[in-house]
Amino acid sequence: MSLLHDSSPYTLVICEKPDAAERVAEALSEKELNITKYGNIKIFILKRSGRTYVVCSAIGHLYTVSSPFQKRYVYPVFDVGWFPIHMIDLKRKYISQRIAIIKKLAENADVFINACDFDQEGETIGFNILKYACNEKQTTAFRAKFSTLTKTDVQEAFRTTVQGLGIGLAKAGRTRHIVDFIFGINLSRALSESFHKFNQGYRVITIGRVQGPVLSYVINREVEIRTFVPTPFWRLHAELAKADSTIIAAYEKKRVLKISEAQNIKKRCRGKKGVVTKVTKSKYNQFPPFPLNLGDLQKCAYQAFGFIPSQTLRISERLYLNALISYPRTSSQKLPPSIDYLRILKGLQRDKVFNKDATEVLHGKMISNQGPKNDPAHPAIYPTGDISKYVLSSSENKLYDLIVRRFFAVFGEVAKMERISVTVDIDGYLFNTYGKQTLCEGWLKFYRKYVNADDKLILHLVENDELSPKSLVMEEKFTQPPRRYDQCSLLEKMEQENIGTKTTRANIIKTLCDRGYFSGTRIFATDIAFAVFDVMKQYSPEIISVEMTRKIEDNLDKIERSKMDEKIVIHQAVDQIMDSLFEIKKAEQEIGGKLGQAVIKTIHKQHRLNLCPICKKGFLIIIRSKKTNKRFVGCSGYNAGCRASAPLPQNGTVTSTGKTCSSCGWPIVNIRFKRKSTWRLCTNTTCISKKMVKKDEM
Amino acid sequence: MKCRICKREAIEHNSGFCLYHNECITKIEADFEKWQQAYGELNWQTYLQRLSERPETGNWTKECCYFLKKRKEA
Ligand SMILES: [Zn+2]
Repeated sequence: MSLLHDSSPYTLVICEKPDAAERVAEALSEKELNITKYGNIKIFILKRSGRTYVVCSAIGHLYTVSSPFQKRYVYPVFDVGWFPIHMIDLKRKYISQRIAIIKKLAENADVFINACDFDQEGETIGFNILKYACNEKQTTAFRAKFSTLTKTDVQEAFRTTVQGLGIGLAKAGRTRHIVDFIFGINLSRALSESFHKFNQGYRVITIGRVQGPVLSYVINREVEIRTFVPTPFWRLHAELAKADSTIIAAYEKKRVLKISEAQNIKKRCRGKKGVVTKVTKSKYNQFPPFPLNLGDLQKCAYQAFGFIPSQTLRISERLYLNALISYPRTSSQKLPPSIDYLRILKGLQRDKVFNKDATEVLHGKMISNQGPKNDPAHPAIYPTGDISKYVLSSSENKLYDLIVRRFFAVFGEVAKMERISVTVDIDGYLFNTYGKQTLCEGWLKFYRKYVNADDKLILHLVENDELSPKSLVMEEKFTQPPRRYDQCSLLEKMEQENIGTKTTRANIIKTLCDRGYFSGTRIFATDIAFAVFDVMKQYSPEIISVEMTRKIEDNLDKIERSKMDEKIVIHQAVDQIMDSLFEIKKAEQEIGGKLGQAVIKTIHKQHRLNLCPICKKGFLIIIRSKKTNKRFVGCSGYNAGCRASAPLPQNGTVTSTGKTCSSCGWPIVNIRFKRKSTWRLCTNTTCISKKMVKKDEM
Repeated sequence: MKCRICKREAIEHNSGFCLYHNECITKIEADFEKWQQAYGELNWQTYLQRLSERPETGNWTKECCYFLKKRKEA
């Protein structure tokens, strides 16, 4: 029985997400759009050039790689295949109805069009649906390729569909899933099983092909920080005045390595007048930025709004589905004229926020700056010029503003700047200061909000000007350890090293955080992370090496370009894994012990507050009473006789601030409640300064 | 053999320290000369004391400072 009333054959269009299906159907429909609902699932039926089109959608992947052997501890696992997700993940039962509907719709269709996102992931989603739900239509189906969901682009894509277009992409995508599954499941099971056998309880300890190198970047940085030895140096600044205005000039040597030398300079220069010996003005150009790719967008959004990369990806996807921006999962930094600059700018003119700037760009030469990076599937991210169908959320608005202003900026003229350097001689010692100013604003006028390009004004000085002394400061400084990674700089590192894909990078970092390997916004590696890293380094060093995973990325690239057979890549992965598993199995007991200790240490650290102010030997820790199931603060030296204890509020999440109360020396904790309010509180109930202060007020 | 500071496995050439603490000790010893030159006169104990008090100093380096100080005192 057909799902449709009409039994004549039709074209079945498969989209990646429900919102995209609705957009595609609206764009294609010549008259009214017929919507049929099966439970929550919408099917769109429309007429186009006398032919019936049925538009349906996936919700991301409907099929996943798995193994028929579902026992948690069994490894190695090499017998893998593609399965409907609902068979593997019971929480996603709703997928079964969607697959059933697509299967039914496929029965009476005679033409199939894959309209999923055009990249490895989208191609894999479409390929699997065509293969498993549409009875092997993956090679005969047509491909509609578009970079925005605007009416014009979608219509153009359907006028120019091609048969068998993305097969290379799909093969590469499917191989990536299989290889990553084989690495992930086997290594994680081997580690979890080692833990399970020699410790109480069960804990999932994961490591994967891309997780490995990312873990190693963070650990290496952590080691650099923890083993850091600072060395001292000194800096000198002179404050000098001309009439009522002052300048601050720095001694020409940025680091004076001996205190005696610094003291000597200070002694010689203090109270002496300065003479301007040199004023140089140099003009330089600041070129417009490149069009945005996903990585750039993630970086800019982190700097401007503090959005973590996975958040930016999510928000940009919503903007894409709302047809406000082009497809965000792109590595391209190029905007070809074929996207129709004129139409976009005219569209943006309709928005009163952007009207003035859009008009200005329209009056210019309209030549876009282009970056070096390319992506065969999509251009860089750009606004479509369409008007939103709903009121944007605050974060959507922020990201959209950034994308639109960046779009204007790439059309902007070169900004012309001037740098003024002044050298002052004080008793034979040279001190420098500088200023800068904008001569011609160019592209900065569109994008100043998002770049640090403020002018630094400086007193007007000419050679031989005399300056009177105000003060001379000598500062003791120390060399600094390298900065910790944050989610954004780690993503940048992955990009530089070509690890993972533009789509997966943000989620790999998130997984490592969720697993308890990383903590904090400035990323710290936990004891578990160290234990997993040490184990891998000893027994399977290839997994945490960048070389191995990069070689696989290169091979996946070759598959995409039909230059390599996917079986070779899978076989190589299996060989690699077998060697590693063999080594891990041999040392199972030792590995289990190490992991167990690390897990205990990490949990202890999470519960440990500061040194006990009563016995000054033990540590105050957060304890949950076995009798009452209530939490309180107690001393780790209880068995040695210390009875220090204090009650804690029973609601909210308690975290250590690492700080102690200035009145009584007891630890201060943060208590975070739902709806985001945070309290800072001294744990000592009898503290004289006893007060609860809302964190925001401090 | 275990590391004398953290009980991790000590590295092979019998230093008595794990890889990480061994690295700290090497760095602490190597940079002593830089500190001496910087301050003119500076003895080993004061150096360890000042180094352990700096916020920039790594946690493992601090552990080594405490260890080295105690060893000298003992
Ligand atoms: Zn050690």
